[in-house]
Amino acid sequence: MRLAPRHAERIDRSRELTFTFDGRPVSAFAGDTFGSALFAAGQRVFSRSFKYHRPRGLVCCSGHCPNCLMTVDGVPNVRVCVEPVRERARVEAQNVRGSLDRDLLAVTDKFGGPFTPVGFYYRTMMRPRRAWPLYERFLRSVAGLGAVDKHAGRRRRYDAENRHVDTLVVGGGRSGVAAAREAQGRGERVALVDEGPEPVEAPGVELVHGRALGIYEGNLVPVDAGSILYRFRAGRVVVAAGALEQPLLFPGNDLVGVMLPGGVRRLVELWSLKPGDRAVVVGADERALAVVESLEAAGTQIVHVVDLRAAQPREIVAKGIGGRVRDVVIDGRTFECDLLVASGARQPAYSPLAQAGARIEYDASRGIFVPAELPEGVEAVGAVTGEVGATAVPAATFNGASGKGKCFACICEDVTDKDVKRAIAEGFDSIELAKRYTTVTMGPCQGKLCHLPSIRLYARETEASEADIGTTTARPPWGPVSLGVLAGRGHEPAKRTSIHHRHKDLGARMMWTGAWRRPHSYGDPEDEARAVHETVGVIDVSTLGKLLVAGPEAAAFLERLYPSRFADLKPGRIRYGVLGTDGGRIMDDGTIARLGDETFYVTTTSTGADSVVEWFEWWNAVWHMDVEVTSVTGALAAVNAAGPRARDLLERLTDLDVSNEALRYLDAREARVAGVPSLVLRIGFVGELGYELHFPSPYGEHVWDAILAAGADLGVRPFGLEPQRVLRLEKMHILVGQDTDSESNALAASMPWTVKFDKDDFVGRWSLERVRDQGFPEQLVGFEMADGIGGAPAEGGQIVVDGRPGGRVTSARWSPELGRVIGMAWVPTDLARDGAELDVKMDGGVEKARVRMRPFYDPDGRRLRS
Amino acid sequence: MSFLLPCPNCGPRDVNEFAYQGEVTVRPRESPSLRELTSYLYFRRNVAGVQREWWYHRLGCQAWFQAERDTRTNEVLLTELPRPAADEAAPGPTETAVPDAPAV
Amino acid sequence: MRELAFLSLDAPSADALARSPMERRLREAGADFEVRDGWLVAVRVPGEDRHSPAVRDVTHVLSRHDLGTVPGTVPPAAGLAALDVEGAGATTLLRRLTELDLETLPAVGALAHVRVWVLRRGEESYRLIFEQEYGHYLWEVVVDAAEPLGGGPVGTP
Repeated sequence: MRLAPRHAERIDRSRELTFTFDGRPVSAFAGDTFGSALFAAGQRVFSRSFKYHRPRGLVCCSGHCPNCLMTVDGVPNVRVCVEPVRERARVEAQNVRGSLDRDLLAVTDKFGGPFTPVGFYYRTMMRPRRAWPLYERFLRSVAGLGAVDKHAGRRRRYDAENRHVDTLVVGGGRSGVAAAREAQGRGERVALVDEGPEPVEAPGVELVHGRALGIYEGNLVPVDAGSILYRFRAGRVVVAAGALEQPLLFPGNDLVGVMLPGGVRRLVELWSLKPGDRAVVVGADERALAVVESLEAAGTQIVHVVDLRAAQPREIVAKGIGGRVRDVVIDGRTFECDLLVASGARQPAYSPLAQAGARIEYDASRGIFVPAELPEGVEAVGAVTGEVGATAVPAATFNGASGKGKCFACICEDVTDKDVKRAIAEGFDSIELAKRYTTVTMGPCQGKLCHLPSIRLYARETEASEADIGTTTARPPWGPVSLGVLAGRGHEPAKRTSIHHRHKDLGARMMWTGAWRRPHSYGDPEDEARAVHETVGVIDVSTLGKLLVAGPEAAAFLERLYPSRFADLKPGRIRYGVLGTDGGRIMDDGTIARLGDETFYVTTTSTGADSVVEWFEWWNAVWHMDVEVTSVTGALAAVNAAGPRARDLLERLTDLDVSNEALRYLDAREARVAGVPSLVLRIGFVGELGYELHFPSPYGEHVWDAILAAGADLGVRPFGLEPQRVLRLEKMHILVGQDTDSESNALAASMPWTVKFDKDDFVGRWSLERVRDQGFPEQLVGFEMADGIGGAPAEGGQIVVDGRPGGRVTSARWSPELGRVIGMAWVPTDLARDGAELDVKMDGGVEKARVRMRPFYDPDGRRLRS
Repeated sequence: MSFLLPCPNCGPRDVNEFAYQGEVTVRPRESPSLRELTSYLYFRRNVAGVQREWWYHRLGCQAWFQAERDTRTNEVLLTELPRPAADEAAPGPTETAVPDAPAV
Repeated sequence: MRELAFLSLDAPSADALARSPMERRLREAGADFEVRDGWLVAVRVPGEDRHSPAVRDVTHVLSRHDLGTVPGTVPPAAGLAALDVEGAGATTLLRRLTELDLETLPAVGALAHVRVWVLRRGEESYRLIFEQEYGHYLWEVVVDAAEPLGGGPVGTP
């Protein structure tokens, strides 16, 4: 039923839409919200309350209160009073067993009242302890509101959009629009955010329909616009959020038909609806009482009007049938009605300002809180500043003497005035504690309709003033927001080498190493390792960190950063280095090739590349040495070809003399490989004759293909990280971060040869000197399990010494080549000698192992040098 | 955290583009005593107030710079690229973080 | 021996083909390719006429000089890849991926959590330059952001 067309109505009566509500078709006009259309169709109960499942109807029609939450197209907790209708949408009631009009859980209202005060489950559901899982399952099934659609992430798309403006205005009322136009006039970039539902008239100003969730540091204002989160960065934020009508506290104040004046006005003016047949109006200011005009225009009979400024009644009691208001008793006089419009003073919507750091003061003359001392870059205009006119301060409650019927301080969480009194009696006498105990202000309205009334109740019960009670801390978000909007589009950066897709083509199983995607293996790790020992294997090592360190002071720079010596490294030669902190701790390792007097090529671990570049740059930000550090990690692809036939393979791809005399172990040369200018490093992480080829990334697939083609008859095989880990373990080559941790130093990690004390100061020198002089309690060693043990101990597995924990395993693998399980472990220093016996804790008990101080495989490095 | 940090090269940017590297400390000149070394390595002043600190514009120009920031409000008072110091000591506060006698 | 030819994209042999990190994604989108100046270049993508904002792989024409006056470290050209985003919706697309102020370009900053140089080429026309190892990832992110705006991949005719 609609009224005759009204001049400000938002509906377009020529355009009809249809949606379904709990399966039944409902017709609406364009410009309707789901809420207005349902109201027009005669629906009065819009939800069931949180705890007692009491019927609830429209109250504010502005998206603040919890009473119209429904599930729309699978999205729970949609405020249908402000959600524009969509053709064919599916609207469903939520938080009911049965239907809105007959909800089985409403039994809690009848019988649960005295037994389910706030915090009841902490007390009544304690015993027996074993039963708690049952209680919990029951509580979880009946608590909460709508049900989350677990697959929403796939069905709905959420984006975030970043915006920069000079001035952002929050609130599209008269003062907000004026502020926006003024800034516009100054030539600023301006946007105005408004959450509706009233239309905003601000020609020329960019309008964003959504809810500003808060004001964060740096004037970051996120705006929830449904499927998009606008992230505004504003030079200046002007808050024009207006003021919020406050409900009164009296028995029956939650009945369907008890509304706020603004909600009534919107029903009439925006959607041409008749809010009720017979109305009683109780108001504390001019604006609230002016609702009488709208009601009269709608043809509602005004039964009685109470102006709280003139005199305040002692008792107001609303009584209903089936949860809908039927009559109101005011100081003994009964008025029959189906609509009770009741409100106290309008409270400035100061929350966004308080979040930004404004101080909030109590204005005792009007009984409201107002903002003061705004932070820099944040301004306020209009009603939010406290310009709400003269108003009466309503009594905390209008309970009178009878005390019958529930009087709600908080309709979101179903907290009554009695609950608040009980909380105070139990000792929760600070507003912050009481908030957490009673959960007043913690529901969907976030205090918009309950904060001020509950403070007033507190003040009365504790005989303190509202100013002393104070407000609770305002925190974003200012209103409910779906997690999808906050999460936005998930972006997880992954790095891929330029050979990545060739690995995929070969059926590689990929794994994460840091941000990189790398092949774990191509199907048979043991076979891949065997190829390296017997013929030749190739592995993509493009992920290695690669740095060019160049300049007159390059050698001196590296000598200061590394404990190793580089001044004597000849051009064309390579040296291993362990990078440490000033605390002497190992942070990374890699090879350093000298390409010229003033040019070094440094490689780092795959996961340490970025932090090593940052580390180099950091020290040079202090030292200001004449050296330039360039990261070429991504610019260069790298492939390691290793195995007894590696030389034969390389020979086929390059004109370079690759004989053992011309290209010795730890030599570096520039050469064309497969027609591509490359850097050839002869090094051997995996223990066989090997070459690392570094060349421009765009040629990754070309060089990879050329290697596999040229080596086909040599038995060349790609190998992944897993076989590489076995191969390096056979050589007892450490993996930084795997075998070492943030406490490890190079001396205790059995690499004393990397530390040169007979040179000038270097990073970590003083700490390493102390380690050298004082010794260390544990040392990194190799170990091999006794014959016949096929299973490897877990990483982190315990080393048992004299029946007590004495060390830990850092790596362990079955080595097909050696026919036994080998590994590395930290053990007490006195056990760090070849042949020492260890007990290693395994799944089935404790097993014997022996310490090995030299590589398990080719301990003299003959194969590397062959 | 969402404050803006003015990079000396790029101007104000969201703090999430940067890496924070702690207070500016002073590395001992030569062979420090154990107390000096541990003070340098492990102790920070951790002030509630303005502190001078290292930042790295990781997702931007990748420059190291120093900022003076109020740790209570995240107000950034100044940022600047480190200056070459004549005597090689890092610029920054010269007070040591640890008192001379242990505060037992 | 400080020649560092291995850092240069010049002078490989004629049969050595250079590939952009986005090549495979374009291939999966059904693109036709041609060899131009030693690069494998996507020239046509099915449905490209309908795409706006258009997302185009321009790694093969990228020059470090594009980065002009943007302060900060820059890897060698071999380490860079690039995408052009142009046509109606390009600005919205970029706003959904980066917090950089698009009125103060060129700049280098975070885009989809990755370091990207953002250059303006026209009213609704931008060039994104980034480290090539993120090419595959950024292609997915940018094309995904283009889709709801009516955009998608296009070739270089």
